[in-house]
Amino acid sequence: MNRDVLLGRDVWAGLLFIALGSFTIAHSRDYAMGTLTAMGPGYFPAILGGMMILFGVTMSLGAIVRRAEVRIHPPQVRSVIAICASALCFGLLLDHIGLPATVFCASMIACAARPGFLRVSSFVLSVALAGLCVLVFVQVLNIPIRLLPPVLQGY
Amino acid sequence: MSDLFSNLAMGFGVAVSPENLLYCLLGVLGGTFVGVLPGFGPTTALALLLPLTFRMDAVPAFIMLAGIYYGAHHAGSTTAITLNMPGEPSSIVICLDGHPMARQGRAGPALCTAAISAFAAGCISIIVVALFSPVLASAALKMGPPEYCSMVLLALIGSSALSHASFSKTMAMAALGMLLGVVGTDVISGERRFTFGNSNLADGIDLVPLAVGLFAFSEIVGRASATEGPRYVSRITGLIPTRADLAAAWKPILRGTGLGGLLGMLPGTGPMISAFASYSLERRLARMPERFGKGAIEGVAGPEAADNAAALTHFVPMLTLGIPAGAPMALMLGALMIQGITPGPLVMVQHADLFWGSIASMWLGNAMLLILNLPLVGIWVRLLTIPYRFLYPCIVIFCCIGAYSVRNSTFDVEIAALIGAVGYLLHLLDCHPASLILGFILGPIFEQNLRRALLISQGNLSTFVVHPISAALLAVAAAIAFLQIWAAFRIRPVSV
Repeated sequence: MNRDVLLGRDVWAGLLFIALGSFTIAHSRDYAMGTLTAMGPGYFPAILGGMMILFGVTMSLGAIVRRAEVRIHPPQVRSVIAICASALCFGLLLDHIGLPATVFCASMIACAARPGFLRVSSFVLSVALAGLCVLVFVQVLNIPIRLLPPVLQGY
Repeated sequence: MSDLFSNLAMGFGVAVSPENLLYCLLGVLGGTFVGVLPGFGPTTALALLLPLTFRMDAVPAFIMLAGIYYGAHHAGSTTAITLNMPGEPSSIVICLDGHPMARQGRAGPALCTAAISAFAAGCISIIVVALFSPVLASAALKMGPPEYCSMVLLALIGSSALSHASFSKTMAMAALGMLLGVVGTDVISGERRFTFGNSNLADGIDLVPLAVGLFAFSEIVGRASATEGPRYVSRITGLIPTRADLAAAWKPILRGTGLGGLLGMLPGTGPMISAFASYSLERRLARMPERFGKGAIEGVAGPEAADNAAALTHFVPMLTLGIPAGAPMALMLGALMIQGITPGPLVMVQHADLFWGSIASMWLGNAMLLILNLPLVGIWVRLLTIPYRFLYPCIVIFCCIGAYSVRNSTFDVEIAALIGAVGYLLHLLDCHPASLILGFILGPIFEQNLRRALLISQGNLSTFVVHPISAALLAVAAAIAFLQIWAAFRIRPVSV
C-alpha cells in the first residue's frame, strides 16, 4: 500500500469524522436514550454520531480504494493563529477595555497574519478602524456596546 | 388569477414605501459592496450584514436581506467578467465567456448583457414565484411530520448534488451541522445537551457566529498571507451591446430563465447547477459551438439568466415550506426566525405584507441593480484594487462586531474564533461548509418532526413510506443518493 494514499486528504477527513462520531456517541450516553417511540434527548445525537462514523469510514475506505493521492495543502499556520487570536482577543477584551481599544488591539493582531506587519500602515489602519467602528456602530447604528473601560466610566 | 394581481399590487404597495425602498437600496448596495470582495459570495455577505437588520421591523429587514442576497449574487458576475474572479461557484460559468469578452475590450457590453439578462430573468421568475408559492403553501398545509422529515432528507441529499465534494463528505458535514444544531436546551425534555456545563450554550450556538466563523474567517485565513500579484483590470468603455448582441442574447435569456426557474425550486439544486445546465444547453444549441469559451455572448446571457432566475425561485421552498434549498436561504430562514416569524405555509397568510412585499421588492431590487450597477461598476472594480492587507483586518473586526451584536455576548465572538479555526481545518480537508450550515438549520426541524412522527406511529418506521408524499420525496432522495454513489464509483481518478 502506497504511503501517500494512507496519508491523503480524504483518509484524514474520514478519520476526523470517525473520531467526532465516536465522541458524539460516547457523550450521548450521558442523556436518556428513550425508545424509538418516545425518543429521549440522547437518541438523535447518537444517530448523528453513527452517521458521522459511517460516512467517515466510507470516506477513508473510498479514498484508499480509489488510491486518491491528494495531499493536504500546507496549512497557513501564521494566518490561522493571527485571525483566530484577533477574534478571540476581541471577545475577551471588549467587556474590559471598551470598543475603540479592543478594535485597535484586535486589528493589530489581525495584521500579524502577514509578515512585516509592524509598519506604520498597520498602526494607522488600526487607529482609523477604531474610529470608524465607534462612528458607524455606536453613533449611527446605536448598537449598545461599551466604549470605555469600566474604571473610567465610574462603575 | 385576479388574486395574484391584487396580492402583487399589495406587495408593491408595501415595497414602494420610502422606508422600504431605502432599505432595499441599502441592501443592494451593501450586498454588492461585500459581494465584489474576493472570496465573498452571497452567503458570506448575508452572514456579515445580517446583524444590521436585527433592530429593524420584520418587513424592512427581510426586504434588505433579500437586497443583500441578490446584490451579492450579481456582484459575483461583475467580478467574473472584469477580473476572471468568480465571487461564488455559480459565476464560474460567467467567467468562461464573460472574461474573454472583457479581454477583447467588450467588458461593457458583457456587463450590460449580464445585467439585462438578470433583470429579464428576474421579471419572469417573480411571476413564477407569485404563481407557485400559494400552490406549494396549500400543499404544505397537508404535510405532517413524516413528510417534513423526508423533505429535509431530500434537501440535504440534494445539496450534495451541487457541491464538488464527494457524497460521503457532504453528508458527514450535514450530520456535523445537525449536531451543532442539537447543542442547547432540548425542546421536548428541557434537558441541556452538549453544553459541557457552559451556561452560555444553553440557548444553543447562534447562526451568525457560526456562519461568520465558517465562511468569513476561514476564507480570510486562506487569503491573508497570500502574495498579491498585479491584477488585470479591464478598462470599461461603452456599455451598450450592439444590436447583433441583443439578437443573439434574447433566446438564451428566455431558455436560461425557464431552466433556472424550474431548477431553483427543487430543494438542494439551485443557481450553480442552473448556470452550468444553461451553459451546456446553449453550447449544444449553438450553430458554432467552437465560439464558446472565446467570448460568445450567449454564454453570458443564458447562464446569467438561469443563475438569477434560480436565485429568485430559491425563495419559494424557504418561504412556503420553511425548508431552505441552500446555504444563503438557510441564513435568510435564520433571520426570519430571529424576527419571531416561524417560516412555513402560514407565512403567506399571517404575514401577507412580508411575503408579497418581499416578492415585489425582489423586482425593485433587480431594477435597482440594472440602473445602479452599470454606472457604478467602475467604483466596484476599483474597490478590488485596494490591497487585501488593508481590507482583511476591517473584515475581521466587522465580523466580530456582527457576532457580538446578535445577543450582546462576547462569548459568541469567542465561539466564532473557535469555529473559524475548525472551519479552516475542514477547508484543508476539502469539506465544504455549505452543507454544514444547511444541516445546522434543518437539524432541529428534522429532529422534532422525527420524534413527532415516530410518536404518532408508535415507533413504526413504515410511517415514512406509507404516506404517499413522504414516500415520493424519499424515492427522489434515494435516486439522487444512488446516482451520486454510482458516479463516484464510475469516475476513477487518473493515476499519476
